[in-house]
Amino acid sequence: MSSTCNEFNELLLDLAYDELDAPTSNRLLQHKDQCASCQKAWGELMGVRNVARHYDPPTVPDHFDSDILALARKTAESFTSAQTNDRRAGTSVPAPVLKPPSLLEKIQAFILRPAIIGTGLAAAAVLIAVTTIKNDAHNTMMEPVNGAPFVGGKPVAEPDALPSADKSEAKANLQTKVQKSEAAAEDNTVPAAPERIQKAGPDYEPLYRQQAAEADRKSPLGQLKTARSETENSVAESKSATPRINKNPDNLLQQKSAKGSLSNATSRGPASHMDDIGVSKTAPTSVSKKKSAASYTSQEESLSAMEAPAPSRKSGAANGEMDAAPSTAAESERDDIGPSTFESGLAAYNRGDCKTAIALFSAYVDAPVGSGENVPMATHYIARCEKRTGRCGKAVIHYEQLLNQFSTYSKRADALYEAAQCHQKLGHGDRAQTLLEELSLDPDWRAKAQKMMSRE
Amino acid sequence: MVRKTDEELIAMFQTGDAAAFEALFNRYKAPIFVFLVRQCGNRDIAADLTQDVFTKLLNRADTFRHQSRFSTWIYTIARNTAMDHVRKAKHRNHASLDAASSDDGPALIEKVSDDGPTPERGSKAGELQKALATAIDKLPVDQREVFILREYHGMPFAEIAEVVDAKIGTVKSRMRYALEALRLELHQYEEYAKELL
Repeated sequence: MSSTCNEFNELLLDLAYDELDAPTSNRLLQHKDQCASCQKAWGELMGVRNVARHYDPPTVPDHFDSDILALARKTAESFTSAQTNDRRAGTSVPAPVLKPPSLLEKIQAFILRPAIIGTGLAAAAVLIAVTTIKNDAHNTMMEPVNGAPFVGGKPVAEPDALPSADKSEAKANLQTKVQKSEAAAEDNTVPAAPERIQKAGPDYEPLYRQQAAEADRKSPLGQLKTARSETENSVAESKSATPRINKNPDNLLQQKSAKGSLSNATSRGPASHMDDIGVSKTAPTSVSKKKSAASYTSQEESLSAMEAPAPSRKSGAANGEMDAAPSTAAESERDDIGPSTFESGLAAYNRGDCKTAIALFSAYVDAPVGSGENVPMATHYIARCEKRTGRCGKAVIHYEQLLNQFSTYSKRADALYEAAQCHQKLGHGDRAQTLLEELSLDPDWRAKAQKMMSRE
Repeated sequence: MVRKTDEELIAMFQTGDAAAFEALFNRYKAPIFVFLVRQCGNRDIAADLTQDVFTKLLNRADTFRHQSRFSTWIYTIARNTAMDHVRKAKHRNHASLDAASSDDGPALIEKVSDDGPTPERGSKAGELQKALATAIDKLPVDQREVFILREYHGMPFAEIAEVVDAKIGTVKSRMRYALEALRLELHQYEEYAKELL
């Protein structure tokens, strides 16, 4: 093997991807034409590249375009306003850094906000003024110590106690000080603060905060937080309402009718179904899906809080104590079925042990109280296990249960598709058609749904 | 009209020109999405991550100091976003519903490569498509990212080295391994691919 062969091998990738200068490239290509081994190496590489060229990239979604471009406009505006401010200030500082602030920065920003400073200064001024006026008023009422009046809390020498030549000057000084205090009190009244805030408050800061908040909201974590906060608010509202309801049978009836109005709601005991948010456990799909999932969770929580309380809570509920801790042995037994059961089911499913998986997921789903965070997903897994083991008849029962009871389940599209497959196998063409029609409303699944429908 | 460079566009955006960002967005949306699809293996997730990448980019737009290429910067953000996602997904332990489903549901590769019925479906071209996508997905992450960036995004090796934070020699070595693995997987399609060209 010649030194040129070594060089060729060393620079083969650069040559293939056109990263060499023209003279080197020509020289190596000439060598390749004369050298069998280098020609072979070249042929192999270009053969793979020829195949790789046939890669058909997936269609790019456009559902987030408007969000991004709206954020871009806001950011551009903030850049413009920041530059305008810089020009006004006569500085040439580059555009503001929009990185998320640290906790310390947030605290500093809060403390050093113009509004806080302005209010603080105003408050201090008012305090001084009030103290001065109070002392002044007090002095007029109080008998002076040794005949000396008080100004600013300190005794001031009475003009009479001074040499006669200085008396008039001291009196004038005293009057000046009192007048200054009064003027300061007038200058530092509360209405002055908003003016200062308006003058000092830069446009950039609110925009920056809006952007940070928006970015926060858009992130999966932010959406989870929003969903959770909505859920918490809902639960808090329900909890605060429940004791009153329990005391009044009429209200209880109203609550029950309200519960009935929630279509397709689960008949299970209180369960948070936080998993349905679809962010913590599953991959995020689209903003709308997440929002609906969040609202569903909120609805579920409200429903759970409105449900007739579990036995252990009954005594507490009667007294309006909804947060009574579980105390019976039966409850502690039920507590054993929880997230770990779900995780064990998942592990069994992942290793292909469908029988164990079905048993564990069923126990999880059937547990009466408190374990239902992942009920929709567990139901989905049961259905999949049944389908996987060829029991489509049983699978469709679970799919239908999932689709009917958890209308905003984050993996609804997957469930629709799989249920339709089962129904097709069972010869339930109409039901499969209905499910596929719903599935075709999802742009990401439309092609697949239509393909399946055309097969029917 | 002369096409503006990425760096010119981001500079214009830094002075408040929103249209410049739109141009950049239109230029990079598809490549970033494709890169993320191959990195995380799921179109829905890749769409969300693409959105995250552009949001991050907007939040940091002013920090771009024109010391490197814009493409290096955005792909670095995209790569880090994908890596974060993969790391979190590992902890979630819920891969089976998100990733490939071993029963009759849509498998990972279908979700990624199949955009619905095409005239080529069932033909050799469709088969090649599928085999190629599978072979790429089988590559180790470090080889796959290098291969995708060089082959499909036309990024020079030196720039890839910056994006993946590795030496250029390491990048070339990964590329060689990736090409060799793909050759072994796809050698049966070489003749057919030549015919198509």
